[in-house]
Amino acid sequence: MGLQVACQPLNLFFCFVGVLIGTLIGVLPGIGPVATLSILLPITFRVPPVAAIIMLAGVYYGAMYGGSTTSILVNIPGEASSVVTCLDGYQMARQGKAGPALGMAAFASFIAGTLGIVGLMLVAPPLSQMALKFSPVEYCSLVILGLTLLVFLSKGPMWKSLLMAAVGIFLGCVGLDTMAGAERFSFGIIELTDGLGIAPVAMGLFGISEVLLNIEESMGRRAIFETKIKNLLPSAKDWSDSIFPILRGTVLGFFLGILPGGGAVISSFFSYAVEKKVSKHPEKFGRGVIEGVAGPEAANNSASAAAFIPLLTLGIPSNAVTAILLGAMIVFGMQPGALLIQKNPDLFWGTIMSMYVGNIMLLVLNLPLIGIWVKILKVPYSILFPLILLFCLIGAYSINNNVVEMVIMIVFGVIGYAFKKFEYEAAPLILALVLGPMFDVAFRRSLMLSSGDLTVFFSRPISLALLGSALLILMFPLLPWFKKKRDLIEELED
Amino acid sequence: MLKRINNDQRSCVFWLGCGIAICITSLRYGLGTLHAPETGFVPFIAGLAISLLALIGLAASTARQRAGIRWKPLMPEGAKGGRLLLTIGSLFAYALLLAPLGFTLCTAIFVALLLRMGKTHRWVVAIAGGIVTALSAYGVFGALLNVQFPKGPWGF
Repeated sequence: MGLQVACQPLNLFFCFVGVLIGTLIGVLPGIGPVATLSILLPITFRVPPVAAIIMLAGVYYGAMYGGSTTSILVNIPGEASSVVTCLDGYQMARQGKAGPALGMAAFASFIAGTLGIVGLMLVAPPLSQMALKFSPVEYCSLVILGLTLLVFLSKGPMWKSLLMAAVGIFLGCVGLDTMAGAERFSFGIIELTDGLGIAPVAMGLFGISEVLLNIEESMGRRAIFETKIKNLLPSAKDWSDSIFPILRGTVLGFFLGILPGGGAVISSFFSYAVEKKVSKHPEKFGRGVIEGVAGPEAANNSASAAAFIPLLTLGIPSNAVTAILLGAMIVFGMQPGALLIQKNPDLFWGTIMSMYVGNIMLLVLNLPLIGIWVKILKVPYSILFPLILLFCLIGAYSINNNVVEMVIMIVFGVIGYAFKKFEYEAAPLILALVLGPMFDVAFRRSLMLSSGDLTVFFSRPISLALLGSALLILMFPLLPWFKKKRDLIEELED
Repeated sequence: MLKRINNDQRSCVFWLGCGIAICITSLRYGLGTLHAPETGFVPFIAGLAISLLALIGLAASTARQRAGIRWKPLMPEGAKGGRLLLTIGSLFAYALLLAPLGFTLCTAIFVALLLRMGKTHRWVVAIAGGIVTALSAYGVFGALLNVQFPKGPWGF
């Protein structure tokens, strides 16, 4: 059924559009998949839901492919998950090996993405079955675990990420209380009765704020490493050096991608650290070894496939991107979670199979079109940023044909800019904003069902396991060996 | 004294204020009881968490400051603050003038201003870019995707 849905002409078209846009925004530094998804979200309300989700998903994993191009050619990561690719990819370009680096990045992404989708197909159905046993108590504990994991894996001090999550929970409470039918924190503004929409908030926090940050600096042309890009097909030696890093990166990325809060960024860093550790020549890392490109690129693509598992099976987004996808599904009237396979099998299997199709399209797009992506990279930011802002404004307006959504987006854009300046991460906030209403209802229902007995969260085994895991995670930073690993990752990022 | 307050301390004071305000407002909505939580219950917990975390942050940042750690300045050297304010002002102005001026004119002026910002492009180029962008955007979003843009007094 999935293949039938994925191969329908309309869905194929939107898959293509999604991966094309995803690759484009992956190539362009300054705008990421979160901002792009939030900009495209209002526009997708006009297309059939399955096609819309296929397109948005395509943007996400397409961006993972595109991000490596700028990392290798310009030493500027197109995406956060491609930061590590800069370390060796750019050095390979400087040695005249840009072609093999770009080619191997594309092939590694394809292999890992495909294997990640196989894993998704195998893991998702049994996990959905397990999730059918969840009551409001388990959902509440799962939300707490999800937020804790995201907080744990965010950069910077944990208190900042926890604070952002708390702010997100609060913002999720703005509007009508669905249980009591009372308004809260809308202060008489009619447009806030339905709460703060995910789209304008996400566009502001990620899209507008990024532009505001970038325009502080010079807006001239980027210096692109001028080299002839030849021999995109890796040699036999390149393959023999890269195959095990690709396989290791795939497995690592898959398991990290499932975890709420995990995902492409952290998995690419872990993969690089692992490859350096197991290599016979660790001193060569950072000077242009193909393993330093193959492993992380495999990891980030595998993680992006695995990120769909908690979204599709439990209705819990694992990162900001899947949070927006969850928002989209809710707007389309779908029930993400355990019942999705039963109530919307076309969406579930169609999305998974479209990822296969999308991976093939990406391999075809990325190799021959590299020359075009390089030309696009040369477009000065002074021309790009007004267009990005305009798309954001149009996107916000088109949600309800209302200027208030635009104003909300701009306000959150300024807030997002302030967050970046004061070094607060917005991802925990956006995740908590999406999960907040679910948490509010689940928590209050749990208390009502248990007659106010808080021990219900600890007396049910699944809930106890989830909350116990959350507590362990909160205690991790106290362990000295963990602090060393985290410092190493932050050093790599710097 | 103000100069010796670091970025984290400033932000924590702000969050502490927000947290307390949220808690006070939540009380007005009613907390209810544990077996019958009301509308203000979860926002109150969120406000309490924000306040507590702000206090933790205040303590942590004070300790780091005493350990000699420095914070990055909010505006780095050479940062174009004027460009930033102009952009934010343009965004709000766009939202306010969209209905009175209409989509096409408002968009053309907005894009032209931003293209001209920092004198990166000549006025002729900026205005031409603004017009082309506005017409293209109307074509794609208005005509193709059927977004109902406001029409100004001139009908476009």
